[in-house]
Amino acid sequence: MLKLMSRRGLNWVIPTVIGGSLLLALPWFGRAYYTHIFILIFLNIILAMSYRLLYVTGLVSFCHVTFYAIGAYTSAILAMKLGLPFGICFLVGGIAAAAAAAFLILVTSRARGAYFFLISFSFLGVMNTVFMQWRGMTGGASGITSIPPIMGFTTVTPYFYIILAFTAVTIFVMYLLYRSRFGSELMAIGEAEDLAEVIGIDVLRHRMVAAAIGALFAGFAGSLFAHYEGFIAPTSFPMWTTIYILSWCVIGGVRKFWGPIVGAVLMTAISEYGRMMGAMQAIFYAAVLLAVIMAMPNGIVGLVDTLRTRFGRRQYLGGDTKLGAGPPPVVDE
Amino acid sequence: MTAQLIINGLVLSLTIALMSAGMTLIFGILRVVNFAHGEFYMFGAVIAFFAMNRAGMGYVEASIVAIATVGLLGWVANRLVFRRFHGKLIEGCIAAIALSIGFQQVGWIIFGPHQQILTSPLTGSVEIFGAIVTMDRLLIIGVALVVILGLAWLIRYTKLGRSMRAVQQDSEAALTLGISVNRVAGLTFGIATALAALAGTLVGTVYTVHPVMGMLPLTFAFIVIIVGGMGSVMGAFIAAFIIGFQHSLTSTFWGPQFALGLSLGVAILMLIFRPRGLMGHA
Amino acid sequence: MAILEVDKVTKRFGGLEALRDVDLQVESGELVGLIGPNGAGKSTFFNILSGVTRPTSGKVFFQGEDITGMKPHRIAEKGLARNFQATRLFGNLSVLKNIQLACHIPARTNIAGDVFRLPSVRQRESEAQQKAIDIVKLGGLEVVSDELAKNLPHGYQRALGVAIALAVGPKLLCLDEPVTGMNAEETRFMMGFIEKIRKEGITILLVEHHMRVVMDICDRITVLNFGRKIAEGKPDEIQGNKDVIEAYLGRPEDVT
Repeated sequence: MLKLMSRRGLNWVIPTVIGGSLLLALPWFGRAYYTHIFILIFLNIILAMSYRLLYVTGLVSFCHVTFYAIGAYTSAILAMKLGLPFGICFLVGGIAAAAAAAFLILVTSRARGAYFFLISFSFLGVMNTVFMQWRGMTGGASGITSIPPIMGFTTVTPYFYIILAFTAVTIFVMYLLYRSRFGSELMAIGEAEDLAEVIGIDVLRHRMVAAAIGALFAGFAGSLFAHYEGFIAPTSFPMWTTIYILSWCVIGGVRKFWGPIVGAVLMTAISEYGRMMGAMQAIFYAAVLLAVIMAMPNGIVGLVDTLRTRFGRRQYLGGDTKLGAGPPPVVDE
Repeated sequence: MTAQLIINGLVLSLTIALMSAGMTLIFGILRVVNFAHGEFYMFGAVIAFFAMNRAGMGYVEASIVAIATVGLLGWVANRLVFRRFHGKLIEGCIAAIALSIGFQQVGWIIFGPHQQILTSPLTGSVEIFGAIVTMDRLLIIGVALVVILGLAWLIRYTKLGRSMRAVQQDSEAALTLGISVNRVAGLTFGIATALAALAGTLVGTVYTVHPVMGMLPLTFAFIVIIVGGMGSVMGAFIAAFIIGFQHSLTSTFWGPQFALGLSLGVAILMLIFRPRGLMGHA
Repeated sequence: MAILEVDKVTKRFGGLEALRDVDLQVESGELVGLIGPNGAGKSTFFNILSGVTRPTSGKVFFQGEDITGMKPHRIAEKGLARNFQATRLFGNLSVLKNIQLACHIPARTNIAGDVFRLPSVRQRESEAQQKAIDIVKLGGLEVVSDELAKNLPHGYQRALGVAIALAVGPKLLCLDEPVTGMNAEETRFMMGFIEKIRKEGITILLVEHHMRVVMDICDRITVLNFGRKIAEGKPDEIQGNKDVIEAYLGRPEDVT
């Protein structure tokens, strides 16, 4: 709290309070459509922030949307088949996703880098098949309809506040995590995995925890989504979503805390705005992504760092693998 | 029925082989996972379609034009985009994903949503072992087989092939031997995308042409290069046959969705128990 | 009892035999050197000691305990630390942060306590920070304490690598070519650093190519060639050893 009282702190307190009030008042003066867009933005923020947790340890996963889906399906199925109250469905949905993630990390502990990317891609495909084929549970291609709403709310406005609240909780939890030693150790693993290992950091355990927490929040978001929309199907969780999540983090800047949030907000807004652009929307999105990855590898939030690297003092530590440097990285026996 | 299965299996295996050979070469030599490979495949079919239906070319001419154009496009893509990401896996993947999204959209814009088909030059059918086999499928099998053998010959016996293998093993050492790594990289990308385009023009005669036709072949290519070993062309060939025939068989009885799920499951198992694949390097 | 006992360790990679039946004993408080031409297997040996690789056969005992094949982080907890020949640092973190990350043993990371800043954890954190500051001083890194590791000049980076290993609080410190690539002044500094570490009572196993350094500071030296131990003894014995000279320079006949 003392930090807020300093000069710098005061500078952003006022805009934050104004912005926060505007945000809270949105459902009252905006159309329901805009409220809905904001709900999507909130969910995407949760997805992006939760994705980053595992990303910083050096594991780029391709199946984050699958954890979102697991949370959604688990929650919906429990509500529909067992009539359990939302709170329980929500919790179990998150836990199911977390368990799946931890298991995935455990089982793929021998793989690294490119291989994990591909394993998660395959996992996404396999789960998609499960969602499509297991008609008894998941309704197959038609999905699940008439999912009970949260606490009986049928208008958009209550969901706005519920999901906003949960997004705030997510951001706060992430803040605590990154501020802690655990968070520093996660980033250390991403910087230099073998060094982290020999200074006593249990890399596997840390990654499992990071994956589990990340998937937990994705699962929670999925549950919120399912009960908000009232309907889910395999088409609600296309492969593209997982690519988008990755792109939000990259565009926003994965090195800094606010990066994924900036990325999620910006790109969701662009893609919604772009609906008016019609066919050009996807091209615009792709162009932005390409431009960012080529010119601003640290993302928007990391722009300062990128500029400093380009025009500032020299660095001494290189480190990228060289072109065709022998066999792909595989852990030795 | 069995003959039909075998023919379908061959068609699938050979076209997957074309796709995955190129993709595994790109990975081995450039260290880039080319997510846009399916779009080069699609462009092959789309360009051939326009060449045939707007410019009045015959199938063979149209195919050659399409393949050459896409090969050039691949070379340019490497020069402009991928060259800076050689060796940087994540960034290269994201760039490839961006290209994939963009290319797909371009496909939508110029081709439209209606599925079309390329008219094959060969019509009619023959009888083999008591079953009716259409000539267009035989064309695919024939052409693909010849090209694959040609690729194997190129890698094994030509100077370019040796340079490619050298760069894959150790690009810095290759540089000291006087091999222009950039040139090899550009040619590799061009060849790989040309192979994808060829697969597109072939498959377009039997199955439909449409802007997202590249997604499924892309998925198959991933599975195959995982199972075969990333960077190994021979592994890709072998795995292509395994996966191709597996898919043909399984989808006949349990549907294509299940067959795909099964292939993905195999890929996961391979990555867990033998990450280097069948023929990858340890 | 020897602090480190390596028992007939062999390591094969496919058809390549990197190490063959290597025995080694290090007594507590010693400074033992490990030398040999390039490709002799020294880095592989270190990888086996620190748990990065498993040996094909043979055992490693640390303080009487069998640590063969243990995971690297557990071996670090037991008190064996190492640096890396190819500079490995947390590039985007500050020097102080780099060292602080290693200052957490003996207690395991208690994640929940950590995240929610329980008092016990906060206490440990401030102790760790103090310890890190001390090591920064010991390693002569005060000047660059807040600098990002990736921006440091080579000499400082190597010193940081050693400091990080030291921060683990080891009983045995394995140094892989600490002075490689350093000029005379930096080398002198590093030797002083190593002496200070030795005075703390830490046992040191040193791999190095710089012969003067090795001969000057080591109590004993072991020589590897082509994966096998070819000689062992005091520095002056090693200097005169025919096999060692042959390993480095080849046989006299080969020169003509």
